[in-house]
Amino acid sequence: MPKPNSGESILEYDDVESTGLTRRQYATIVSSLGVASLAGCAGENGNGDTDGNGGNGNGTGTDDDDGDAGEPQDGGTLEVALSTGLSNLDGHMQTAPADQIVTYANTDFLFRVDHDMEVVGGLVESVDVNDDGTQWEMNIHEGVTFHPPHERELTAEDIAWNFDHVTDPERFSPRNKPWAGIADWHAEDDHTFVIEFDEGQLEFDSYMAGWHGFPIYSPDAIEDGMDMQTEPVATGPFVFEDWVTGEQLTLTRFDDYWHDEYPYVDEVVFRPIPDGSGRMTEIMQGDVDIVVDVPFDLLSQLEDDDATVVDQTDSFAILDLLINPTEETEENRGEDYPTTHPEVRQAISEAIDRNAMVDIIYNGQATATQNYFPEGSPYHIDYNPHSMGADPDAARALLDEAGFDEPEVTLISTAERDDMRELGQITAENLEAAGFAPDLQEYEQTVWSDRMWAGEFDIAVEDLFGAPSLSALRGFWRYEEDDPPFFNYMYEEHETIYQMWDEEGLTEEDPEERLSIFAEVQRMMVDDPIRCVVCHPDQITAYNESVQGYSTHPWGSNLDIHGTWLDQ
Amino acid sequence: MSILSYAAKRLFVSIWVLFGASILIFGIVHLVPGDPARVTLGRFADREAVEGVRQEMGLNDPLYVQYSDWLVGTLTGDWGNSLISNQPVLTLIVERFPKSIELALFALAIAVVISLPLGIMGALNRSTKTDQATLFFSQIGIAIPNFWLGIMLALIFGRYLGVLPASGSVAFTEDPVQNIRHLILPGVSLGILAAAVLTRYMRSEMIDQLNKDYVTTARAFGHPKKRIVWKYTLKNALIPYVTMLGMQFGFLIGGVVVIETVFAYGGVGQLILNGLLNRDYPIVQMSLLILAGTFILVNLVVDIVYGYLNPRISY
Repeated sequence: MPKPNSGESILEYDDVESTGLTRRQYATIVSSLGVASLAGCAGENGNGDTDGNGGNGNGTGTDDDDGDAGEPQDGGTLEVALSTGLSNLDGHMQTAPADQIVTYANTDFLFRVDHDMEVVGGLVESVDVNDDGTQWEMNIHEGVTFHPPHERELTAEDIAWNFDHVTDPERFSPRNKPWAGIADWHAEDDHTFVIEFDEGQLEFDSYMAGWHGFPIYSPDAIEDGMDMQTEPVATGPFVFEDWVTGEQLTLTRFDDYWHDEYPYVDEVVFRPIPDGSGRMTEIMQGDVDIVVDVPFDLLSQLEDDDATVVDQTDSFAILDLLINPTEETEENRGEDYPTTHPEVRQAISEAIDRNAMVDIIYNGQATATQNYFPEGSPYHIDYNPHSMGADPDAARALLDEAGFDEPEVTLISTAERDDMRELGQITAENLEAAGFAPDLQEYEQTVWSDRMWAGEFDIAVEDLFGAPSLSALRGFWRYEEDDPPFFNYMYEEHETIYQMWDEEGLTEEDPEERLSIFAEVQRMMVDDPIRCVVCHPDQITAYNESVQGYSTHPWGSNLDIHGTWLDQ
Repeated sequence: MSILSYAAKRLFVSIWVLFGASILIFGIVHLVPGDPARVTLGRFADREAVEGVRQEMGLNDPLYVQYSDWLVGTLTGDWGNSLISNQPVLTLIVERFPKSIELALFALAIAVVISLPLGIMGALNRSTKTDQATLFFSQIGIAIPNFWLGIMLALIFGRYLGVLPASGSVAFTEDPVQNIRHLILPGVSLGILAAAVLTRYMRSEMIDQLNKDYVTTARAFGHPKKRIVWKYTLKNALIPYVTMLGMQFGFLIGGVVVIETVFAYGGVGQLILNGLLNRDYPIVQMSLLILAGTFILVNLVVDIVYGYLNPRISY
């Protein structure tokens, strides 16, 4: 994935399209010519396709797999089944994936991630980065308008306002924290937005595309007292229409959307159907068009259903074991804090059977790995130093080396989710077979989260959304005094990793060299697995055969329906 | 004591019961571990933000202050906002409560339609195959968990036969036919248990009445069987049945929590469940208080109606 070099302006998507090459082919050529680009930065259709036709059920969901779907048609209502209810429509405040799915359809992000796992522009058309990476000048699309009732053209001033809004300390936005290091932001002119950093940040775009992007809302609407949590006003392809909580949320097509071609459908209706079997029934009966979160154990039910397409792709999502390397908390910890020893952490990684976990938890629909990035991501390194199946002997040897005999470890999990519960149970069995004395504790999700936050565990099962780059992942590895204990990874390699990460990686101008530094950082993180990665679960959606121009995005919360249309 | 003064006395007692229920609900909801501030901010939030949100939500105030604020708000119509979505609690409950009541009433109607004839048939054909079939149905009905029944019905009628919708709800005012179609599967799932309980109750009450002396006397006087059953015994058997009906309605109101989740039926049950999972105190407290109030009110009405049905009772 080519990233912008300092002093160079990124390319625009239209340039790419005119070559007749796919973006990936083009990016490869551009990269080999030494012209770094953030390919596909603007104007790309929502599903990552160059012609707007989309994946059409080919089962891979990549840009190169366009189906023979014909000309897009306008009109119709697209019904989407969600696995949980909606709770908060404000993209600056929300944390739940279902809410983020709506936000993705309702707003525009500054940057986002495409189907090839590359960071591309959203509202940002192109970027100029200065020599040392301390200033990012973003050129904002012209002709972008806000939704009614506050229709007017978006300017760079509005983006600056949104930055002010998110960083307002009284709003406690979860999006606020990762921006430490930004010195200033301002609107240079109507369509130029500038961010300055204390130190070079050559991957800021991925930071902004990470954790589901940075949506822009109407300052006028907010100043008029409208609550973005319940009636968002943004610039996205679909306008918020109505929300009957627990029942359905309706978005309608924004006729003045800045992209000429899409959206195509008149209306999108999101319906929460918590029961997995219920979602399957609805798609098989044709009562909904797209099902998000197809339960892995029910996937086979769709095999014989010709009218339903199952679309599966690699995802950024990570299932892992978070291992507590600190002595900051005494509560609910094993005697002598075994997990503070690197050998014990490695023993845990050797003890678990990742292959079996993938088979049992995901029916094989996941990739067992020890890496943070899935195959297909430019950050992916094929580095798996520990056993992928269980190796209890190697684990015992490491325990001996650390001076532990049957160390007690608390393992916290949540029974509220099948994947987490099963991961906890299999891990406990694996650990016991490798000479540990695990104490598996299953909690309700809120309590599990509380315990984790308080650092009251030795091992915690965990899932992460993942990230498009190592810099974006940096948000999960920060160290600050105010952070909860489980963030504070003060272990042997801590200083080295942070130094390589921040001081060397983020300021390295040569993209290849930067990737090489980050690969080294990752190898160190895998060697001493504070987060012991188990697998990347596949992202799976199911959709009706009448749905065209849709393919599954590597991020579950990015339901890419911008260029989707219904074959009526 | 006149029926009016009896009703006034019962109402006064009911208010105290509701007050007690409010303390219980508040206490239990706040005793459950889990921090709504962290739910709002996600598990990667820092301490400062969590503390700030806790302060904003008023969660750092002493519990008695939080309780009295809630109580005053409840009485003055200021039910506050959801801690998660920031939507007014009043609006959320007004949107959803009628749907749950509609579902519970529909389930109750199903229970009555099934239990009355089955109970009577069982009693009139005691120890026959018909009676055994009635008992078998009530045993099965009580034993089957209603969420499992719901899933099975959704699979059979929703997926394989495709004759009824397996999820969602439609307002009666919007489309009466679709409204009924969406009610059938959750209503049956919910109503079967009540039907089973009421069938057994009806059967035993009818048998009890049929064994009474006045029935023997009526037979001796040559009254036709139909008149004895429909005019004398059924009337008397219905008196305790109505009381049981009131109690069952209360249980059905509680049962909607699970069934609404299975059928993605947007009632107050789902609101409570999501509220509990998210530790959305204002939503859970108010919804539970209203359910408790409904239960108390139904029992009050049943008690008063009982007086009308049974002339031997004087207040």
